Amino acid sequence: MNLSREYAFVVVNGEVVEEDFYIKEGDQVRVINAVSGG
Amino acid sequence: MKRCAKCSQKAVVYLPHHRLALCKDHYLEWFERRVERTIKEFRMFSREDRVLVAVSGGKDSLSLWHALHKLGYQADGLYINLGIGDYSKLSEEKAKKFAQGLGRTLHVIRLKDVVEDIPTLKEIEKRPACSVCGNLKRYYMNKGAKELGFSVIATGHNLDDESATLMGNVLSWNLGYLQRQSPVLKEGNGFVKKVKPLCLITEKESALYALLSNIDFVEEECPYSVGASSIEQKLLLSQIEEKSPGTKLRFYLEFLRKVQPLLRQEEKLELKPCSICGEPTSGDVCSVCRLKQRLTLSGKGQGS
Repeated sequence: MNLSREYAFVVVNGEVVEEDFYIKEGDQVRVINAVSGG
Repeated sequence: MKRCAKCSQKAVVYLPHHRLALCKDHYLEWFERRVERTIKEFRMFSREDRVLVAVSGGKDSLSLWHALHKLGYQADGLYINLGIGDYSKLSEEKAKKFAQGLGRTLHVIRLKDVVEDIPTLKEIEKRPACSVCGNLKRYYMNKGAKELGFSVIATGHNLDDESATLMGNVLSWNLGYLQRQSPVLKEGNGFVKKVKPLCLITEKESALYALLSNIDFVEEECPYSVGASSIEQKLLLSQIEEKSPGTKLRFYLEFLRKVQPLLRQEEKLELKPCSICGEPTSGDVCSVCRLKQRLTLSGKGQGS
């Protein structure tokens, strides 16, 4: 996805997770890219 | 697994440039304290002031409004509908829902009603859409705040916005913009005081606060911001920050501490009321009234 931890993070089942977290089938994954602009 | 520096519970947030790991509750507390300290340090406003928060429906403005409300400030919102299709519809919907939840008033201005929507203006303007949009937002924020009797306008500009703008202005040595880049723009000459209480909070910190506070914010980007130079500058700064945590904060704070006082001495911008609308301008006619004139000439305005 070419994102950096500087401005993006991952939420699994409503919890913010670290980079070494393993996701399993059925998990709800949300990737939040905080960079906005204009 | 990192532990919260305050309570030793499992940390959900790690802030490299502060070398701080925090659990959800202590992160929310840290964020609000940082906002409060910024307000006090830069003498932005007090609890007696009526604050108008410029709300876009995004993470920064909603996080700011949420934090100000929790800190006990009298803060209402102003949403400017840009008329950008589904993006504006969704943003307004989220801003209204949020205001309702907070129990505060959200004032709404529709560009279509007062000038024209951004897609139409983009057709007649050579400038990038973001430049036209920023110009109009600043104008109607100020006009709206005065008409509604607010003494302060608070915007959700964060540390990434400020450091990227600073980098852009330094790269082109735009001294006029550098002089005016400040967490506080004082009132006077027809302008309401403007403040940026999130100027020491990163974009990621703001997004984390919104998420952990269960704020329903717009995640979609404005379709016109694709390829905006500010995004490129933010990504470049992030690369430096990743290798050297604290760079953005140092870049911005040291500019405010060491460079801005020197630039301020040179500031000699004289403003007068626009001969058409009465809003402050450096020329005879302000940029928004000139835009309206071009719109009429183009035949694309609603009244033409």
